[in-house]
Amino acid sequence: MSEIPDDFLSEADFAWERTYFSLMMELKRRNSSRYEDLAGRLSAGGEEILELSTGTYKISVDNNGCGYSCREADGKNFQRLGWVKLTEDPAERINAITDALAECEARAQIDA
Amino acid sequence: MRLILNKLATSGSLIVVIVLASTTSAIGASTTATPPKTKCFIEVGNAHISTSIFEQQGRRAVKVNAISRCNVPQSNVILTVKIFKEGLGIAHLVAQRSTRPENPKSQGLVVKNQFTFLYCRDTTRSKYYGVASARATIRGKGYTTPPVWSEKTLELNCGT
Repeated sequence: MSEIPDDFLSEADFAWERTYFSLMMELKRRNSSRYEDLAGRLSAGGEEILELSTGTYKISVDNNGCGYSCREADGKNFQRLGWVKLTEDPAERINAITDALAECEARAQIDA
Repeated sequence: MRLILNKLATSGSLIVVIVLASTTSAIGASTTATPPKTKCFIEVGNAHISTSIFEQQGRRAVKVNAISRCNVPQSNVILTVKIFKEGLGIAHLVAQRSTRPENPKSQGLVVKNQFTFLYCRDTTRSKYYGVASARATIRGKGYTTPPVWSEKTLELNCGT
């Protein structure tokens, strides 16, 4: 595996990553049914609002990709927090949207 | 300064120094204090296969990290990292993440984005690089830093 660690990441940063990425995995396992239902609805395109612990989030899907945003402090606009390119394969799309849902909830829970 | 440049040369990442506000000259006002120069750096690492993601999730993913450093406190930092994949034709965006400006970790002298990644579909060798940019508030003014590229485009065993 080619790992090129960035020397600006500290041990505390790596510890944070372990917590974050394991939480994402745990959320995907625990909420698989809910995420798959939602991903199935969004796969062809659309938006869904999620009310989470640290704010209001929006998941958006179109032909190109899947993004998630957080409502800004002004209460009006959403700020894009993440986006990934989606393939055309339906099963891969649903899996990638499911990953994005888990990631969005993990960021909300860990306040990232 | 030479020490910093030597360190950067071996760090596998690219950095841009931006002097956001130069000194204010005291023209006709001998008692005016000259504020220190505000210097901000964005450093973006090379694309790599993330050990953290593999260890925690058992999945391979390409990842790029970035950091924004200033010599004065910055706030409401939106540090965005984009991962591009080179293929036939022009490079195309495959993933991006941004820090949340309201987050406490998006304030201070140092702000990091260490959560920009894309899972690999298979082990097809593909070329990746990262681009980072930032928006921040410094001394009450909003600033935008231009994009900074990874030092290298690297071929990884990661088809996406």
